[in-house]
Amino acid sequence: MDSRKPWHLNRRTFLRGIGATLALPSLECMGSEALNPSPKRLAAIYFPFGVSMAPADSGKASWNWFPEKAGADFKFSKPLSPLESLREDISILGGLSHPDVRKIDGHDSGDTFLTGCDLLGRDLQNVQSMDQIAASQLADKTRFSSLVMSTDGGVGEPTRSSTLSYNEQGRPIPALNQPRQIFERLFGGGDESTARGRRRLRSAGSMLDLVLDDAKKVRSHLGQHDKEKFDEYLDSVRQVEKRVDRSQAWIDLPKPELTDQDRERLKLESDSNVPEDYVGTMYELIYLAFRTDSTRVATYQIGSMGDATSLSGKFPQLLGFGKNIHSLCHDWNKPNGIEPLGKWDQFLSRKFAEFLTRMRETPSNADGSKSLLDQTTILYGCSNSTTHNNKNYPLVLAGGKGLGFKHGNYHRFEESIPLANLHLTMLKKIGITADKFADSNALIPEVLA
Amino acid sequence: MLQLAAPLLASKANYITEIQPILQKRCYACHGPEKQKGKLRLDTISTDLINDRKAARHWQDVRSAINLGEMPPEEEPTLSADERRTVLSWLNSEIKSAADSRKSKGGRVVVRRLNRAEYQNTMRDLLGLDISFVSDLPPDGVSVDGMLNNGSALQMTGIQFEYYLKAARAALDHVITTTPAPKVFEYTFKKSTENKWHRKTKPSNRLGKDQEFIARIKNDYPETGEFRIRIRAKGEFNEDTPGPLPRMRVMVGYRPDTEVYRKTLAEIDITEKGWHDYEFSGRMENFPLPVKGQGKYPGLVISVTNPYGGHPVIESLEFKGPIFESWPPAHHRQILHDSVSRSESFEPDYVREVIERFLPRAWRRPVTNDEVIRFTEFFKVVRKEMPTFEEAMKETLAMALVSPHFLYILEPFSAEQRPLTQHELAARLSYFLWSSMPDQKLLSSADSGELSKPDVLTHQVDRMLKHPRSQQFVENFVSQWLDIDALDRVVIDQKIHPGFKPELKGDMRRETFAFFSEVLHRNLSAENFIDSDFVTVNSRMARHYGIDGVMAGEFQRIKLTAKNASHRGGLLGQSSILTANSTGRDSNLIKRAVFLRKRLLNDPPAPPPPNVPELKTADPNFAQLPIRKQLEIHLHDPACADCHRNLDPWGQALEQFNAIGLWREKIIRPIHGKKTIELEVDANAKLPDGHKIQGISGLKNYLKEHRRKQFARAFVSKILTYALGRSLEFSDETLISDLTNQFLKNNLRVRDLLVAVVQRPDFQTK
Repeated sequence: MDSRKPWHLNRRTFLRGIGATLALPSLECMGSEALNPSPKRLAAIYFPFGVSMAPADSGKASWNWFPEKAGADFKFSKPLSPLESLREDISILGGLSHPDVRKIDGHDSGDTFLTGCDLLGRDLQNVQSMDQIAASQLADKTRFSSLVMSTDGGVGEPTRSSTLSYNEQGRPIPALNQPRQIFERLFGGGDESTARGRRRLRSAGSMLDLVLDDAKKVRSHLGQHDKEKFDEYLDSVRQVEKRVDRSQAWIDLPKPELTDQDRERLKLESDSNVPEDYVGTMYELIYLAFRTDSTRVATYQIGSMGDATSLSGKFPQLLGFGKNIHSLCHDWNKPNGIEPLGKWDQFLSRKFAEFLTRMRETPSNADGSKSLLDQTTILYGCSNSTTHNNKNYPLVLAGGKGLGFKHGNYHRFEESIPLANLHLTMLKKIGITADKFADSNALIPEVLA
Repeated sequence: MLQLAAPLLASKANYITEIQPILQKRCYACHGPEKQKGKLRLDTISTDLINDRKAARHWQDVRSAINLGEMPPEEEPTLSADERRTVLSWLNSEIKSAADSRKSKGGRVVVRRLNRAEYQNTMRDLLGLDISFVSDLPPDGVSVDGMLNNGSALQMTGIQFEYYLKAARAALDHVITTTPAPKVFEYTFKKSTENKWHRKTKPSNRLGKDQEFIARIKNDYPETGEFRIRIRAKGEFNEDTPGPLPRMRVMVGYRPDTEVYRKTLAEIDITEKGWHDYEFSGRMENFPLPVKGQGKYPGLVISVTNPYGGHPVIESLEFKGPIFESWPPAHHRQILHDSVSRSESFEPDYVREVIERFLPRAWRRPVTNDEVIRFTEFFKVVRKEMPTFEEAMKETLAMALVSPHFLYILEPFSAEQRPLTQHELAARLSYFLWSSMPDQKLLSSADSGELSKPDVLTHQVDRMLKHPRSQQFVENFVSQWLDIDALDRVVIDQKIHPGFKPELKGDMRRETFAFFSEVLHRNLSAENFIDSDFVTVNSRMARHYGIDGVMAGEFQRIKLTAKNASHRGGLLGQSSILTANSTGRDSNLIKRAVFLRKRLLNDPPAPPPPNVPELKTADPNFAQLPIRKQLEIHLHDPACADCHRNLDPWGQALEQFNAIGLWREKIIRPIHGKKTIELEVDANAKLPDGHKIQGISGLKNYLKEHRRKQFARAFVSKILTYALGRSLEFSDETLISDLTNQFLKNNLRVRDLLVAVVQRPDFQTK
């Protein structure tokens, strides 16, 4: 009945005639800066509804997400235990949050994880997210300026966003959620590799000119509200024009080849009904995109806070932890609720750890002195500590030792320190020009070497 | 969600008489003339949240502080429960109406993009090809009203535009053929091609339980185009013990290894005795296809099974494909038509003809000469680049399909509200009732200038609702109104519900569509959505509900009696709703309550306030308490109680149904692993207005008696929101109440309501 199964991978692969080239070595670095030994990258991963914060007297305190004691000698909690082998590559951060987001409804904070803006005071109009600031400055370095993914795909609705990324106008960027589609985009031969594709790339230029020209005329006949809406269309055409121009520059560079082993790990036909494979594949796609320098910025929202509307809601049920994410998270302080929630948190940590390990095992430069992980700064976490609570976000900062980050610690921060300080620190360390991000007022020196 | 703010004056009065005295008593000492702790002074702050945004932000902080219990501070006397509720409900409604007012579009429809479903249907109807065009398009944004056709929520970004262009080009590659007529393959199978098949099923001509008819075509089969399967079969009927009718399910796919990947082509009941031919057709592109020569069982697999338990017997199965009446096929000739000008010497004339024929259909309106020239000029440019005429023409037509005139429903502006043009009206109608472009009849009516005449309009609505495409209205509207997709987001725990097969979710969904369809097409009362004396079920849903005597796989209307399942009437008795609003193990009382208030009464509860302190549930036996006791813990905390008091009872009344919508006498609740406890069903509820009701029948009677008007208004609002493609605003009050009164007088007849909506000036103006 189900047509979307792993076998398809082979079919498409063979159809593309790549079968014969599978034995070729993979090209590790296809970027325009192929000689640049160490591109700098940024990723952000989000999960919804908070974590287990089992009270000390519950008898289940070991399932509390946060380690018991802060400092360099912290002990991994059970939910974080899968990250233990990555101790020197991660910092656990407690106490941080976006001050302007604290007063918003408990489930409405997901939209602002990477923007930090006062959504409520702005009638739900968001601002450019931290990853997109990086993406716009790094745009000409790679084939794709960023990779925006989520389990639900699209944009969701304000306060129940299904994307982490917002463009320059503060509009949500639709996230991709089909592994097959993302794979084709990054690595597929696609149209661009054929003679027809090249012809079409050329004709797209004049087509978009004409479309834009006509659209401007249309706009002049619209009312004010319509104009505001219609500007999205004009902006989109302009973006694609730019992309077409960029594609011209990339057209003679083939898309990167992957190895057999790479392909084995990808479960391109998996969907949200198989969380283990699906989440793993989404991480793997980020990894491959980074390794091949197809992009330097990636976001992945594992689940949205749209409890009733999120496909990820059922993940814990499918994994055998009983309830959907939201209900599970509501039970964080109930005697029988702590452990199932802790196990879900642990699952998330395990998938994250698998991704980090892949990144660490792969060299980023020719002499192998730095790993991909060393050259990538990664934020992982949630905008609720426990469900409904918009303070004390559970956060892991990973990677980037080659960029000047220092790890192996559990830091507790005062509530007064805005999370945007961390965003700014991450941006700075990958070479982005920015003096301020959202309500930032300093860097976070604790995570710097 | 139309929670209308009280008119400003009333709200002002309310502030002075009810709110100010509380603030004076509890807050002004620190936030008044003497002191302004935290730089906040409440006695002089503006209460105009709409225009004074700074004040609005202060009031949001006030709400947050009260919600959190941070204010008044510990050392001061706390707000009484009543004071707290009074202040919070004033703040909630002011903050909401300020937000609504800033979002207002002046009660006018905003330019909107076709949503995914509309784009798919439009491409299919425009190009005459029924394949998927939307696989790369991201899901659409949902509006606050839960609708997918709201202009404000449907956005456009670069990546979407990129995929629209890709989809347009791929579609035209499909539609315009440049190859010679393909070879047609024809096969007849008298018995299964396999001797052994699967550990679960055996090849056979007689299809009993776990038996299948398998036809595998190893190499020579088409990979694109239409195909036809003809099956000669009869049914075995047992006169003595009537059971479900023999039913055939035909599937197409392939088998790489142990699993078989396939999609259902069709299902059909065998209703008559004797041998008969049954014919089905589909397009290869819509089915999972193998890589030629690959896999353990290479080739295309056609299988016939019996999904319901009767006994069909197959004599033969014929496959033929690709099927075309002529070559190039009709969808090609619809665009590149036969014409005398189609020869190289007249190429420019032909190009113009093609464009003049295509553009008005694609853009759903007559086009100007300038517009045509834009395309012929573009053709000239790309013709130099492209190797063939067809390649250049595809690129030219692709431009029409990424144009805003195609992707958007565009209605140019005028300062005053203006009547829609005939063609704009045709498009509004067709996207309302068909989720697709107007057909030729509708366009002709618009061309003639007659469409807006009331009798012509009524006639068109009638015709359109009788057309099979109206099923697209039923499915889109019902899905959005009731959020039927929530079914996909719940996993049923099969350890607790061992009889449940995930396949049944499809039947549940179809039941609700069929039920709505029945009410709509027979012009019945919307009151049937609250309670009805019939259900629409097929044999599988009937078996699920324990209703005897339904043998067919098709959905049909069955009268309910006290004996067979009288509690099933209405939407609240349907498994789709009950399951979608369950936890997958047990009922989800709160979700069901929210469903009822939000979807049926248009009175959505406020979302949980920010930073709610967690429940203090020290009781180690919490998991074993009846749900009522568990929820009572909410009520100890005023932060929760305010909302939950008005919410929980609605769901309590539905406790007679378990997670998959089955009637239950006992609640079996899993505690740990395999351990379960048994609890009494408790479906007694005291509703917010003090009415005490018992269970589903009590609830339905109450809704019919006391909430009929509210439900009617809610339903009218939902239909209007969908029909107009925008959220309703304060200025729509007259429209809503007029239509509601008319609807109530007309005994809530649903089809008449659609006609009434279409006849309103609001539907016919920009």
